[in-house]
Amino acid sequence: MSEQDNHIEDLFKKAKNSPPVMPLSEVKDLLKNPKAGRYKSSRRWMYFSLSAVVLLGFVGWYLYSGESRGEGEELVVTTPTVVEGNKENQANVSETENAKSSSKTVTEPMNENVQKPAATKSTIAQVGKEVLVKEKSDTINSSGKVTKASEAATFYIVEESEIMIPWFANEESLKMYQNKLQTSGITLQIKDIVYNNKDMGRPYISEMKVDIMIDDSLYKSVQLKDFKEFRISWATYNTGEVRIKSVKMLDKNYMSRKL
Amino acid sequence: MPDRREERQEKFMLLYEPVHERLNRYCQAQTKSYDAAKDLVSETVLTAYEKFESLRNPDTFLYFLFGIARNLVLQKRRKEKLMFMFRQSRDASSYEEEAKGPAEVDNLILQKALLQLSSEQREAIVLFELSGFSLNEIAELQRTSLSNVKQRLLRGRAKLKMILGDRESLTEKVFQNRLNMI
Repeated sequence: MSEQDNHIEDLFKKAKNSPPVMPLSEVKDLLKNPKAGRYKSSRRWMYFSLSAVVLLGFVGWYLYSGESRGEGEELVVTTPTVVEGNKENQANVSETENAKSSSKTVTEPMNENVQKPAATKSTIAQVGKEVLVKEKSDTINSSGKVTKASEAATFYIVEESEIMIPWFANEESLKMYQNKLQTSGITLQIKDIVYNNKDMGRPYISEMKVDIMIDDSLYKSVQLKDFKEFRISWATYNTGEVRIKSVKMLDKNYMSRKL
Repeated sequence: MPDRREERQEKFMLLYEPVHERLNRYCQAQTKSYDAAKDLVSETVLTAYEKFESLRNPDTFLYFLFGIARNLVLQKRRKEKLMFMFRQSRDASSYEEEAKGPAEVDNLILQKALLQLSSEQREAIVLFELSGFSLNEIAELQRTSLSNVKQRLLRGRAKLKMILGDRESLTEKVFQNRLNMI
């Protein structure tokens, strides 16, 4: 037997005499509680699946937050209602219309003999594009202003606008936003502003109450707290009427909320 | 119910105790770290315990147990092939990190040399030299002919000789790695 053979034999002998990696007492414990052992041996897979779940969650959150920021979103414009036909149909339409804007449809048909199906129309349009809508009934907005059907034979959007008030706005810039809205016939009454001086190097708005008025009547009153953005979008029609389309807030987690 | 479970555990331990060390040595030689070896032992024991009812002849317990361990090793190797990129770097130094005394260093030298053999050669040598299986038993476990087993043993041993021939430089290399880690 060569020296190398002796050395190999010696190594095998030592390996045979080495203590087992798992003592017998541990094997006995393992049999008493098999679930704990399974957990131990599958821990790597557990970590792997846990990290996969976290990763998927993060991707989901990122995509969702991107959507709420408005990335790749189509602008959906709900046009005023076409009302043609009998009383019953008009009543249905006016309910739908109330849910979407403050204006009301008067349930007086132009011609009761005309039997045409009534419909609520939704159109996808881009900002600035005119959408022609025939309106054959008188309308009253929230302030009680009546638009005769004859006057609004062609009723379309002249302009769509949006304003965004950021969390770092100060009193001066708030006035600027108010003035811009005022020219469109929307009044913003901002009250109870609370500034936060602690978290940043300079004060910023942490809370405020906003009353949105159209033609001196209250459209909506909202309380904002810990917001990042406050958005109001509205449409101006050829009749001069202004309708608010949405009032949204982006909260501190950058999640969009309808107000 | 608890009595029946205890009875089953006792029956299992009666057959398992005599082969405990042989299984440990096999698992240690087939893995690259103490943790992995321990995991392999516990997984083998648990699987064998779960399938214990299906064992008709207690005399075949040794094949039954090593058959399970062998299947688990093959499964693990398939998984490692998929995750090769990040497994290799982590496992390579595991035994080195845990080797403390001279006996463990010797063991480490053998482990390192065994890992350089092909999986069939390594398994044949481990089963023959460390786990005390006969040539026929190895042939049955590896599902191959007796002459194949003999060939694997001969070639494996020759390769081991060649690897361990330069033993001084190998020992030096192991100590150098340990010093680098400190």
